[in-house]
Amino acid sequence: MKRKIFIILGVIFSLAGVFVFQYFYDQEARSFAAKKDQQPLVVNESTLKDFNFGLQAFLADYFWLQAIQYYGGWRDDQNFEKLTDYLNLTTELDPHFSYPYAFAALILPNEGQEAGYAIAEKGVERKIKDWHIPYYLAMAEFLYRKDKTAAARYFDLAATTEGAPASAQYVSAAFGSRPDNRQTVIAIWQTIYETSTDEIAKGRAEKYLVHFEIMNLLDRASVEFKKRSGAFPKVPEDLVKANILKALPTDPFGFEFKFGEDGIVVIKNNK
Amino acid sequence: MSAIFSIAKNTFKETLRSRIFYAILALAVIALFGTTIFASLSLGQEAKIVTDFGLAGIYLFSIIISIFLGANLIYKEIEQRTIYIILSKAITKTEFIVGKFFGLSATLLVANLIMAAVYLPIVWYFSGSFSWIALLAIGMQFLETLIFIALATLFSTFTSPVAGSVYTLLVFVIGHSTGILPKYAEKTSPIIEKLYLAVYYIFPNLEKFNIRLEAANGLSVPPMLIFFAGAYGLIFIALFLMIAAVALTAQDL
Repeated sequence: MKRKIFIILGVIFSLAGVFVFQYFYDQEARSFAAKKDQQPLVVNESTLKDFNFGLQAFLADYFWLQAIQYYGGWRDDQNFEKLTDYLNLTTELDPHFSYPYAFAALILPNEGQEAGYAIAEKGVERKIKDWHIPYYLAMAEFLYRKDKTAAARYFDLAATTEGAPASAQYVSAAFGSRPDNRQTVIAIWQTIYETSTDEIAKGRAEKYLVHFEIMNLLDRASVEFKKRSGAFPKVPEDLVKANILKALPTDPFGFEFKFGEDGIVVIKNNK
Repeated sequence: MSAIFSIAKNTFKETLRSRIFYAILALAVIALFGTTIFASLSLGQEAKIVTDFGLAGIYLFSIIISIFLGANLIYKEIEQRTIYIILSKAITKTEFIVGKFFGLSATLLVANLIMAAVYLPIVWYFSGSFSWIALLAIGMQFLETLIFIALATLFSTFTSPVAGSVYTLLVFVIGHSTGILPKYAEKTSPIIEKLYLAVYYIFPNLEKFNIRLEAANGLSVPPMLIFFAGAYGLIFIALFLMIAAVALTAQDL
């Protein structure tokens, strides 16, 4: 009988002991994990590139999944340097893996992380054929760095990248097309046209200058139309009918135009 | 020729009876299906994840099978003295080695075909098209596996399975790291540089068979690179089998 009681007590105390140690272990592990998350990665990019035993693509994916998990487990004390490390490792191990570059441009600048631009620019330099990279980079340049020149360049790059949807081309053509912004954007493209030694960039700049000049012309003609008829035109064809323009100019990007209620020309998003 | 075929057929049947072969193969098939779980966590990069993880899985499991089965290939025959019976039947030691190699290669080919039959439809499902480059990557991996079988056969002629496995693993590690030698050679003295370069050219560079990065990103690989890598691999296989035949002949059996 005594032996049975001894065994039962032994089991109860053992279970209680397990419970207590499990509890304290979890407490300690949680604080350790939080500290670990704050530390930078110790894995060196070049070492991993040299010693990956043929598993470079696999490791790139592994770090990509780590980056997503890390970002997904958002906390107040999140260390974005670690996310940057993960994205750098991913793009170094598999330079053709396009989405991490775009992800860096989409997420990091919004968090005040300059490294996001560097990662995305690396993708642009490596000529990765994914329009998302320059597109997100253009947005970040425009929204956070307030650099309209860089934004215009990247929007244009996105629009000319293979596989870019019509909407990206529309955004690129419409970027800065409102009269209050148009002169600034014309000045940007004028600078690119005058300073660029790259024939492709020069050609693109020339197209944008013609595109915005057509919009200026239509705006001026719209004002003239109002003076004559008392109302703004609805479509550019009205200007030809009223003999204000002899013919409608052709947009170098193939866009068509219409007029808003305020008589200002806008691009028709019908590509 | 018929002697080689008989040895190969028997080795093939023998390895197919091995439980460890089925255990590893079953694990590989489960792992290939498991890649779909990782794919679901990849933020729209499912096709890439299943391609990469699947290729890495097929590659690693093929290496494991070739090392485990290859390390025992000749050693067991010598230990159990069955080699005496075989060699007494007008079969040369070279024929014995080559037959063993082809037998185990056939087993690995079956394993690769099974894994590819699971893997390629998964990739097709996620990417929406058949990935020829992934199939080519499996072919190149298989060629690398054949080098390991030849190497394991060689080690198996003169050392224990454990030691043979360790040596083969070392070649795996070094073979995938020789690419750094020319890079570091430039930073050393001219004599050390020549030594590094000699090691680089002589030691098997297994990265030549790695087109997994290209497969993952749907990039093309120049056919001449495949041709040179193929020729390079076949020469190493022939070399290791020749040394294995010489090593076995040198033994007083």
